Amino acid sequence: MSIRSLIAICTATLLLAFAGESLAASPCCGIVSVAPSGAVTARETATGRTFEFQVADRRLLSTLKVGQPVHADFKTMRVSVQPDGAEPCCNIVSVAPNATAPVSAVAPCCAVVANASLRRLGRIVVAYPEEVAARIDVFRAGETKAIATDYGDKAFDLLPGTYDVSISGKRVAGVTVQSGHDTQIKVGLLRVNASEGTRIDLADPGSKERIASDYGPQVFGLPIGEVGVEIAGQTENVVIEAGQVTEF
Amino acid sequence: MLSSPRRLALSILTLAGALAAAHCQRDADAPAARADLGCCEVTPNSALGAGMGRIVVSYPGGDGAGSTRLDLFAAGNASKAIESKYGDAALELAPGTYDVTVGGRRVASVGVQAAHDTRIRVGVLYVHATDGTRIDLVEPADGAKLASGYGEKQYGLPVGLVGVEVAGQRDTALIEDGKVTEF
Repeated sequence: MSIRSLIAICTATLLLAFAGESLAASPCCGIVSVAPSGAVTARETATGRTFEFQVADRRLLSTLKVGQPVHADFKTMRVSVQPDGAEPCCNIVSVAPNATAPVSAVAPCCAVVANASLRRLGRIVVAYPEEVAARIDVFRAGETKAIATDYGDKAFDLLPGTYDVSISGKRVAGVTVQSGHDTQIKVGLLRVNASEGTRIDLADPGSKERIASDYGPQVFGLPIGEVGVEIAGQTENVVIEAGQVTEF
Repeated sequence: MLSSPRRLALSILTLAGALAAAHCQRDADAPAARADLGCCEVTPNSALGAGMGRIVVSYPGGDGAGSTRLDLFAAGNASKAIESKYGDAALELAPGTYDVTVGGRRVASVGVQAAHDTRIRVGVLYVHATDGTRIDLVEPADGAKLASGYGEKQYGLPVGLVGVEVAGQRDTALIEDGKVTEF
């Protein structure tokens, strides 16, 4: 074998290794919804843009869950649902034309992206970086009686308008829903590493109002921003970041 | 609720539809040629059996609204349906006046003439929603429930405005003859 051939083989090997890197790295995206038709919507964590991929294998489809991390390669338009990003299973059939676009400069709570599967309705979407059973309440703006309640990763179909959304007791006011769009509320997780029996209270740093309480090691799903963590009468503020797990 | 020109226009259309529907009774004197009677259209059909007429309902958009129920009543008698059908229907009937519910909404005083088809004007409301989202269709005027369903579904309905409730919020959609209204 000539040196030229050897170099060519090495180069090809390196290229293949780098080509696979995009899928082998940590998952870029999370599943937002799974339709019985096999159409699966996922969101790219870094940009907030959503895309749809088609799962033809019914058995595989039945194993997919909202919030599950997936790997996507937007060059080859392929998706892998394996933890290591191996064996892409499915083709990306559409990518939302708009990447993350804030609702407005004064509403950094959320990102609004087009959703081609909707017409008159819009959606409020809550998707955490890890599975958590955090409670979500949706209110008409300014009202106190919830019109919808659910837990964990969830998408609420709603008529266009303005709503308030409470996540683990922390209220996000003025969430706008537009026809044919997803309004993705920016959320993260707070993981409190505490001994069994240790009481943890979460409070609004501004009003000091208590928003949630629990005991021992806990994971709280929360909207982005500051939250006060009170333990044994001492309070420390922590920042919840979009798509991130804040360790405490 | 007349805050926008669109709502005003829809309200005017509703009123016009209601007035037209109220004149369905004129079927009895309908001419032999095609007659436009608001709720319905009457056309001659010489292929029918002696002395019989038909009520015809045909939904646009293929078989999507195939689960839409139609009930036929003697005029003014809402207690017991004479006949029930799902999807497109052609009911051969003795001449007279009938009440018909299409997708839960009542069309009163539908006239049937011998050797004629009375086609009820219907359209389809195609609701695009995520699985598990409850949709209620209601009368816009009084909120009376017409039909309910979950997720993506097509509802056959007589022409006119219909209220659509999602998570306790209500909007209206206009059902037009032979058209699929996307929602």
